[in-house]
Amino acid sequence: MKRKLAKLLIIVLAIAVPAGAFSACRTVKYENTLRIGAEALPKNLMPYDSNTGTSTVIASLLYNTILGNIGTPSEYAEQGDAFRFPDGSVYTPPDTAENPFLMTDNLLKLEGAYPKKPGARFGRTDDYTPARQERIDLLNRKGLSPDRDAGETWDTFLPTEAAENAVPSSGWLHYSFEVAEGYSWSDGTPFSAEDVKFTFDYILANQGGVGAVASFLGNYSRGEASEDGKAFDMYLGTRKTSDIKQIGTSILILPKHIWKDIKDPKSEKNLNPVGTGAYKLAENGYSESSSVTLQLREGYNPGGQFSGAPPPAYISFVLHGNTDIMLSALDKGSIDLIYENLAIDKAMQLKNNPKLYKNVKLATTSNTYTTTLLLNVHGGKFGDGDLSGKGKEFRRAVSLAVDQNALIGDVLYGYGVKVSDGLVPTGQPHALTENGAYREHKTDIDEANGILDAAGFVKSGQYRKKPDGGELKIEIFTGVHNERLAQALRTQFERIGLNFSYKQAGTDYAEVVKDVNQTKQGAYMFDAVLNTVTFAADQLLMFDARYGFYETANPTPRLYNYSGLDDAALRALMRSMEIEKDTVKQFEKAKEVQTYLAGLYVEIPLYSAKHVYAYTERNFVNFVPEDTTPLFNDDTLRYITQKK
Amino acid sequence: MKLRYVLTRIFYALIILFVVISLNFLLPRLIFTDPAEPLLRGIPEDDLILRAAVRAEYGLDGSLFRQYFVYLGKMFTFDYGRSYVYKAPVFSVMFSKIPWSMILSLSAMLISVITGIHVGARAAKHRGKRPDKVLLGAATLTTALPSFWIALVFMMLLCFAVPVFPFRGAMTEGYSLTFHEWIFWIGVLLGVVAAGVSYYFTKKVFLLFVVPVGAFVLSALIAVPPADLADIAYHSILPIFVLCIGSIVSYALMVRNSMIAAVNEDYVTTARAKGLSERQVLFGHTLRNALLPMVTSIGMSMAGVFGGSVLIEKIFAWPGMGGLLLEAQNVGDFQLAQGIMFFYSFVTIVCNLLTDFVYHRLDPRVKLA
Amino acid sequence: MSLLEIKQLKIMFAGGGGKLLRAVENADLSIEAGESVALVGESGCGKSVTGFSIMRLLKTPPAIVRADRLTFDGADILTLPEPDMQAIRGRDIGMIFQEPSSALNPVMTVGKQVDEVFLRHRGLKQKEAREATVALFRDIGISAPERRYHQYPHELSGGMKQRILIATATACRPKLLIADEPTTALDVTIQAQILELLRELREKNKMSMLLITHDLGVVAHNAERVHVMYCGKIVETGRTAEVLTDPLHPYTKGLLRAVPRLGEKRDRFEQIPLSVPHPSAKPEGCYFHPRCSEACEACKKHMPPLMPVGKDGARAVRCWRSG
Repeated sequence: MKRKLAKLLIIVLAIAVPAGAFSACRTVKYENTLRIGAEALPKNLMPYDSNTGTSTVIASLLYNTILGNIGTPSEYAEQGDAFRFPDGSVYTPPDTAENPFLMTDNLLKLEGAYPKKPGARFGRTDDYTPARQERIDLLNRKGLSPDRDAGETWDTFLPTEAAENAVPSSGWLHYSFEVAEGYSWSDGTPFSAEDVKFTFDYILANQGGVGAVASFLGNYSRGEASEDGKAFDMYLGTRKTSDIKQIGTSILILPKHIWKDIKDPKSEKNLNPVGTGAYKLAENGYSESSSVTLQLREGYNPGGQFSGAPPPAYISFVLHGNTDIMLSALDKGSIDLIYENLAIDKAMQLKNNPKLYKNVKLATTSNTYTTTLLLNVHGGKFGDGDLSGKGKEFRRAVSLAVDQNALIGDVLYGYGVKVSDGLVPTGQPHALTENGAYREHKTDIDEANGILDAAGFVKSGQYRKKPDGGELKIEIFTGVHNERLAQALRTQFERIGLNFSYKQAGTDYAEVVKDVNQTKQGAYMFDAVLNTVTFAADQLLMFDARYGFYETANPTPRLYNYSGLDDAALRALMRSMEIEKDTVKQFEKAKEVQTYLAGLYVEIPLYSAKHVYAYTERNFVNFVPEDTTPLFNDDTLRYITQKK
Repeated sequence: MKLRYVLTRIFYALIILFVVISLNFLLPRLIFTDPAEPLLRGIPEDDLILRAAVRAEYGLDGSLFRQYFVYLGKMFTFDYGRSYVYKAPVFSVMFSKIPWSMILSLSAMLISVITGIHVGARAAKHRGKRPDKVLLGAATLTTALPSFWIALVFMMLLCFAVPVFPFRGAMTEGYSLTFHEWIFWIGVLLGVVAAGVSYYFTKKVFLLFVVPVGAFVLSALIAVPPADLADIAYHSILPIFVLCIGSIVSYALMVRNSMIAAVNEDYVTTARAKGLSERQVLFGHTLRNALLPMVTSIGMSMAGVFGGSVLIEKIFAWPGMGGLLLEAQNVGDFQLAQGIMFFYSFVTIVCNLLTDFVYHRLDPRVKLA
Repeated sequence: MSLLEIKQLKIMFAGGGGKLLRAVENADLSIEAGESVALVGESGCGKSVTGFSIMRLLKTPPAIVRADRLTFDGADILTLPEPDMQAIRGRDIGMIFQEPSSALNPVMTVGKQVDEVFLRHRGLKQKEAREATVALFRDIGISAPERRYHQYPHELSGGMKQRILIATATACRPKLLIADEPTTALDVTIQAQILELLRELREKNKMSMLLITHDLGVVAHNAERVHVMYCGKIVETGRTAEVLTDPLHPYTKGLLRAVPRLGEKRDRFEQIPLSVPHPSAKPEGCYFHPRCSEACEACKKHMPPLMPVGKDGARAVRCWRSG
């Protein structure tokens, strides 16, 4: 038997040793490489593939948007009436009237501008002109439409409206850009405004194939490139302060000379990407299911972004098995950071055992999400009908029972930030303040109990009953990842005598809630939902689309209006905030919205979780976390340098 | 083997296949609330024409019945649809990953079977003594300890503590495989021809199977440059080892048990009484009977050979089929999920069928019902 | 010198718990060339084990085989090296077993199983062995020998299987055939055929036979001498005709009384009272005494030796009362 074992060992060694020797000779291919460990890699290099986090960051390194370029901060400065964009171009609004958001003659300029395309957003009505379409859209947003039963049509409807509301025009519909110097495509072709025009038109024409960004161009009417390719004029259909920012920082510009031949972007893998970014795909850099390597474009510094120490010559995203393996690899130095944030308990484990991985460091960033408890107020539930008119008192008591500190400690192990009732976390410029200090969410169990007692929610045994004597039970609907939070809440609500249970949905509950017809667990069938609200730290995108749901009064849920909230005053406040041109005034309006919203007690803030990232400084240093971003992105890249 | 038997079995297998195809139609539609959702992202809700077009393309429009018939039609023309994440036909996505899985699972199976037989036979021979006790102890350990844990432990020991083996991927970072397809296909062709010729001269049926498979493997090896081959071999040592640990023990246990049973049979005594040497008794009589259950077991796990081990492949970041289904579900790529599920079922049915035939050939007592 | 000589054979089994089970105690047996000797007794008396020990087919451990003398054709079975023993098995000594159904390998054709003997002992090639097997089948009286060659055991009847086994055992014309209960598992008509076949073979090949059985009827016409065994000890030996007509040992008497005869009218079968003791719980003195109607005090205390009876030394008995 021993002989057989020996034979086996010899065979194994005979394979392993030469293979190992061969393999070891294959040293890592690229020098000065920033190696990033990831658990998922993109399957293609299409700029708008968002199936994994790494695909987004890779796209942002390969391509640029018209406003946000690598190496420069993404805010831009306001100077009087003019905006100066980071690439050096300047915008001056054509005029500065008082009331910018009403119907105008300006629309006449757009006549005949946009070609009719089947399937495209603007091709729906038969007697189509973009001007007309803009009017229809605006009226829809105001909740006005022809009364078909009364025999009205858009034709009969419009002229009246137009006559009533005609006012002089203002800016915010037309933007002019100058193409900055020094940008070129990675295959050497010079960059021109034609590429910008091409990109926007292409996205609108291929909505199914280029991903979710088509929705950002919802208000894009048309664009024009100058003959020398150095200037670009963009016309929007409606005025929203956030539009320019959305379009300017989310739409990656594509090379016309290549993409004009791509007829079916759905089948396109784009494995030879050509972009204007500081990085390009390294030779043989794409190894499916293994790694993606990008190479710095030698000497390419058009906006002067890279002053000082140069960024890594190569950036490699390498696929690994799981977090533990990546942490060991990090410790060893074979990767420099882990792209995805660590699970909270893993972060805790590392924090409590610093000797576990001696070379691994942790960085914390804040999150763009606030986790909230959303109460269903549709059709009287938790509103006045269901609770004998004491809905607001009840909801207020629920809000007072929530102890954010306890939640952050128990559920997030301290990796979280408190949130005011206005749903904006501490530290954001438009967070609700009182006398200069952050207005905190109030927790008071005694007051909560008092309110419920006074409102007639009598305790019978352990739990309270409704004022009319009926049983009071609240069931939250949640996904699997929020179980611990739900349990923590249950404990808290028991302190005010509320019978609180939770029910887990098998799949993403947001999907389930969206379509009432699909499952029994449709919208409004739940009592409360653990919801996430996105806000943007950025000035102009605060209260973004997530709050759009307050606009409609439809009986069926529209997009994110899970709670069925229908409040005219809120709608008016939101609108006035949206249309405010002056940023300072807009912040004030935002605070008004928050205060009013808080007083409704429909959405109770729980916390804003923080993200923890692991990195090592064995090869590279200066990993600087910025707020609300993953540790590594095209902004933080400008700080990272090689260790001397 | 009787032709009627073969045809009957194939007929039943086709029926099962049909049922499986139908179930396969239902499953993704049950798992994903709206299978079309990821495909429709980015298209505005009011753009009904485009939405309808996308749905039609993926066979998700119309009533469930209509979808079913369209789906059946596609199945018969071998159109498994497109993976929207891989932007390629599902067929080619799967078939580009299967060879990687097979490198691990086929090697592991071969090694496990051969080693398992040896270890099991030895344990049976020395029943109750050390070799047997070692086997039973190992069986308890490997059954109780999850395979991914064992994998991680060995990885920590042999990749991080003492850096002997690489801990991720099939090749060194940054390198891709160059595969000379033409060499491969020529080799396979030669193999098929050789099989035909050798059968013609020797009339041995098993050559018709063994020679093409051998040619397949050999051509694949030749079509790859030696540096890549060495790289892949080096990266595969640890995953294969981990896969073998559990397999060897389970095969050995199986062999040990059936050997103990076989050794007590009368025909073994007869064989000895004929004056045959111990070796002749072992190989000619005992093993031939003792290994029959193992044939079934191997046949059943062939589907797993094609599919790859999900856990081991994920841990070692090996680019095989194993993680594909998981990935498809995470991302909502339902065409891919559907294709993979169908593939697994199909392979299982075929392997089942082949095992039946092989087993029938090996054990004449099996009735041709 | 006898073909097979066994003197004072002791076979013990190391049982669980350190106990030693004595399966065979001090047995003497000899067979001359061309002779047929029967070894008779109830199930579990040790007769099969004796047969196995002649071929050295017992697994040691757990079996322990000791004897003053155990020789076959001059060769000392106990000390023979294994390769030589393997040469003897199948070529010089053949053995057939009780259950023909399980004695053949179910996944091999019967033809190939017989081929094995030729391949091993005669050094023939595959094709020659096949021809020899088919010829052998024909000799043995197996119908359609070419077809039978390719059949599997489960396709054959019990009698046919036993013939094949006999063919296997006698293929190389052994000097001794050990037949362990060859007909017990077969029905009566087939029994007669098999016994007839054995008789033919013995005549043709001048083959000795050790017939191990519990069936006295079989013994009557197929063995020249008989040894009666009880609890591992030989209790009576002698020429068959003499022992069966005039049994001396009470056990033999009991056995013969128990056999029903044609023409007799009886209400009940006559039994030997009580039952055979377990090998680990053998009684003191004569093993048979608890069941013996003629037992006396001496029987209870002392094991009688095997004592010769009569002048020619052919008969012997182990009994205080009859010796």
